[in-house]
Amino acid sequence: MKHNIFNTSFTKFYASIKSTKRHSTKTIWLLLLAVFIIVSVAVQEFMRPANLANILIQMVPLGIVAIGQTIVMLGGGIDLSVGAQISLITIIASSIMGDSTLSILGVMMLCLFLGSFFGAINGFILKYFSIPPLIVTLCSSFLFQGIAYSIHQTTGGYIPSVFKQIFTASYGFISVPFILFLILFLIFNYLLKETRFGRYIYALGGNEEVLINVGINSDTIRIKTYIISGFLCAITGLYIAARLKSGSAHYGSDYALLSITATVVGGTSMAGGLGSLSGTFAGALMVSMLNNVLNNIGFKFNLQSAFYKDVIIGIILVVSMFFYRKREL
Amino acid sequence: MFLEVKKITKKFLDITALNDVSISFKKGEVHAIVGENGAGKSTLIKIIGGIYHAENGVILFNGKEVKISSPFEASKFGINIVCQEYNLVPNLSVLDNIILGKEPVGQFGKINKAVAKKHLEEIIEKYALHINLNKFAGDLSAAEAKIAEILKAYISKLEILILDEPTAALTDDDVTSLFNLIAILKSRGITIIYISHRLEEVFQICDRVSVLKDGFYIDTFNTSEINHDLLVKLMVGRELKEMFPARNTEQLNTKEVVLSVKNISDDTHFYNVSFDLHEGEILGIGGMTGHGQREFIRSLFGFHSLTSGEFIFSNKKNEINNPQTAVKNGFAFLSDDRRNEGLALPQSILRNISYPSQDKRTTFGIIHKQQDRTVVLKLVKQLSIKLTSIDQNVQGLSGGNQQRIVIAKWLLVSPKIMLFHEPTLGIDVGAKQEIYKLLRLFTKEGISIIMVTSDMLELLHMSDRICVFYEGKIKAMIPSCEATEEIIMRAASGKKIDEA
Amino acid sequence: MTILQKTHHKKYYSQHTKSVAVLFLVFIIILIFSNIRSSSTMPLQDLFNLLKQTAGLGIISIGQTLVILTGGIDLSLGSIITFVHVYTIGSMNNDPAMILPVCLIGMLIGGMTGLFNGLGVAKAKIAPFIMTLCSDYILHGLYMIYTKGQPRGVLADSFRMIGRVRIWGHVAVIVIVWIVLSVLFIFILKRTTFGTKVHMIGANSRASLLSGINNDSIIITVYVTSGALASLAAIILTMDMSAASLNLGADYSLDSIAATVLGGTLFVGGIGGVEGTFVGSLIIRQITSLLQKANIVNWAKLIIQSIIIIFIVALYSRKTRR
Repeated sequence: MKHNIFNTSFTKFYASIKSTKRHSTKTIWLLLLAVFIIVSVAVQEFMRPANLANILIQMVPLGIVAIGQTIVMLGGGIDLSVGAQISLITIIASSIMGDSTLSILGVMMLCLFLGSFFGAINGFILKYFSIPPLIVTLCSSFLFQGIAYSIHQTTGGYIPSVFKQIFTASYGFISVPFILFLILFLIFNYLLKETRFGRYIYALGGNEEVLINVGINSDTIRIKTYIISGFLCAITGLYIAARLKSGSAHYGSDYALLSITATVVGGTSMAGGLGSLSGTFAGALMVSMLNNVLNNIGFKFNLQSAFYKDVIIGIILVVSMFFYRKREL
Repeated sequence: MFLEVKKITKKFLDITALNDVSISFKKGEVHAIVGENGAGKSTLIKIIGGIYHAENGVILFNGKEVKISSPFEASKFGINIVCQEYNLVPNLSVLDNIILGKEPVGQFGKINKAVAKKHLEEIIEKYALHINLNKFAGDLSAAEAKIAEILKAYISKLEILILDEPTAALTDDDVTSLFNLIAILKSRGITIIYISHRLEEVFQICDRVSVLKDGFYIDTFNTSEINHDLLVKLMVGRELKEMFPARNTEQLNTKEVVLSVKNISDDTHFYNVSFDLHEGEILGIGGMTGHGQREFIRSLFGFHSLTSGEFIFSNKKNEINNPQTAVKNGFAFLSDDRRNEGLALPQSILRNISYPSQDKRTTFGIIHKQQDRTVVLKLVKQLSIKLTSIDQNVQGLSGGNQQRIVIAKWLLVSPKIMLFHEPTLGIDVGAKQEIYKLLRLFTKEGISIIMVTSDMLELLHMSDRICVFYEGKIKAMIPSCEATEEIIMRAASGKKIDEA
Repeated sequence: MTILQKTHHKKYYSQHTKSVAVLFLVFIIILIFSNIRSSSTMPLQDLFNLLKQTAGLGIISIGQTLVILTGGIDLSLGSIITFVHVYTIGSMNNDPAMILPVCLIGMLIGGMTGLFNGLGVAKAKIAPFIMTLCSDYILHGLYMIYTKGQPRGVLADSFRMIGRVRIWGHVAVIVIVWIVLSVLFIFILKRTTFGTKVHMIGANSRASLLSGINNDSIIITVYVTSGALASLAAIILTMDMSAASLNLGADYSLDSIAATVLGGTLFVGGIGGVEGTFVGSLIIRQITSLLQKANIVNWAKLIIQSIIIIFIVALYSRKTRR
């Protein structure tokens, strides 16, 4: 008997009664382990300690942004403006940061505030106009991108060396960026799993009406998820500006797609309500690992790996979406 | 008076659902509201529960006028409502759902689940409720979901508990537990407003009963002072003859079998369903909600996957794997959820009626506009659809008119078998009568109908044969001449019909 | 995506026609304003130039309109254009015999991308924006690999001659193609069953499926058409260029969305049409020209377009709570 898998969005009443298939995060970490083993066997250069340590550093910006993206997506939304926000922050930071400690700290505070503010813009537009998050964040990404270009068309700006030194310090496998990521991961994971706010985010993505009926302002929860995303983009932007010692309107370009990839590969559903940060962590590692492998192979065969990377990431995302499409609330 | 609603009027577009209704509720009483489908019961309680707003009238609580603008506002007054529709967050556990909004918090904002869990487990044990706090709400059966929602209301600040058809999906054991719970609440002085079609329940646990009919308030009685038949008469108030058109007198068994269903299962919701459908027959499918009827009827339309079994129609074994094939083979499907599955609300009536069959009125894909409009207008007239213009949006029409548009759409496709899921859900009594007339008309023209319905009167008086589902299997197949409400209820509860 | 809103769709059928009329007025006003600003002495010639400059965007936006009408979005158009463009220039080798094969393969590139998109959206049920965004990335990688970062090649002279043809001395070939395609698709959307189905799928794809419509084939066709139109536009735009540019497609994805939305096509509801997009394209192009003159085009255009889209979408939908 042929099977007919009908899978578009269900009417709320029975969508909720259908079985909630969840991919446990164990599955994703096992998958990550499997890929790791395959890659380490297939590509010799991969297993060099320096390379592995590098991966842990390379995954940090993606990991941080993906935390924010996951939180937004759990609430049933999506944030396509993350890339543009990152770029804008790198430009702002590199434009006004000076050498003094006061300046550095001040600019950092300002950027964190601005990132939250950008996120709030997304959130408030969503609240007051009935426009899907996709469109709002698509447009706000162009808006932020435009603002970024208006300040600086080219790569440039100034970042004090000490800023770079602090944020890129590392010793063996331990690095400041990775620790930063771990701290953020632990904080937000706790937030999601143990606090009321975290429960409400899951409820927002699962059945917003119920949340409203118990007296919680769902709009506020939603706005906060976008603020968190913006805040984390700001941290990422500051980190990238430190690492590259400059700012550019292009630095953030890939992060929208990559953060969605890491989140989806990590098991979070695009419909909202299902998923976890631990899965996203694995997803970010997976993407970074593949990125690293491609660079290694490319270097070996003298290819322009950057371009192959785009193709492969695109294919991976399509495949993951296909694989995960049976998930339903 | 503890709670009073005075002169409540509620309109939906062109239909007046409630007309100047005034009822008083006493503290600590169990007060039933009865009436046919479409009489306005759900509407009234949704107004009290803050889900709807009335155009006119006031609500008085403890003598003071109150404005209840949302379910949350209602809960602040201690009014908690458990609706028929599902109201849980599917991706959270039952425990999380019950304490949603009132989680006890400890240090660093950490939710203290242990405390809440213990408290709830005590209640569950006390009333012998069949619910697992750890299960995800999306994995629950209809019965478990209902219990979860009742629990949720139970642990809130409770002065008035409103229950809309709570027993429709519950097992007998659950019902006993629920009644115990209600008894305890009553002893604590909590008022229970209870809507049910099962009049025996009303007499069993309710102190008073109010009757609504066609949106009007009829009267309130002490349950000790009235009997079943009188109550029904007040509810329906018209001869059943008026409501339901006479059946076709021909012997349907002798007619051709248009669909033969053999042992179809999906291994999750229904198993081994078999029957033959004759030409011009109306096969009614009843039983408690959530026992596989929904998935079953959708599987006939190719819209829900089967794991085994086959259907035979037009004398050939056929595989229907998607709605498109189903339609090509003469099936039509009218969903219980018109707005999401039957109509494209932002589009015009013309398009909604014409589009599936529009290919018939084209040359090389180009539509014959005049012909298209004429055909649709003719149908609109035939079905008495009230509209200003066929170019207006479907959005603005009442439930009855919308259902007629869906029917019109299908008529143009010339179906042989029409599958209805709740044919008169959300439709006012007047429109219902007309739809029943239409259904009989269709059968006279040779169309066969399978109809899943939770409306007992509809099931009894429209079906030629009644098929009762219990836990995914056919528990009873009864010809209409032998069917009574009791027999159907017994089968729906899983009892053998001939048990003593 | 979960979208919890209750929007009032009033009588949009007639509202759409009204909005296109208003839009046309807006366009005239912008034209007059630009004319006064530039104190140009040849307004008619300016108009013909505008038409020619808009044609590429106009053609691409037709495809975008079709996709958005079905409730989707096509973010891969920019990369399709760039890829077909560099391929056309890169493979022609100044050989007239290559014109036809190269153009056909170019169309195939766009069509195949559209097929890929359509299959992903219809069969694999992947959200359109992710699917087309992925295609965008994949194509971007592919054309960078093809050109190795340095696009080169020479077009055949006869090919470039086609680009210079002018009807009645003023109207360029590309403008004729754009107008013909617009009229064709306006007709298809309004007067054929295919068009009806496009609108109905966008309005409620579930109801459409449950009415026996073959949603998948309509959706796939729409994405293939969008891809093919983008290829066509790329080929025609290339006729007018001497050197390859990796930036050609860059703005077209966003611009086509802006033109479509400005033209009154909504993201939900299956409401809208190509007639609005025609005027919308002209307005977007004119705004671009004005910004170019003021030398702020890079960033100002992004900002202005994003605001326009949000504003228009907000205008057409109103949020109502219970």
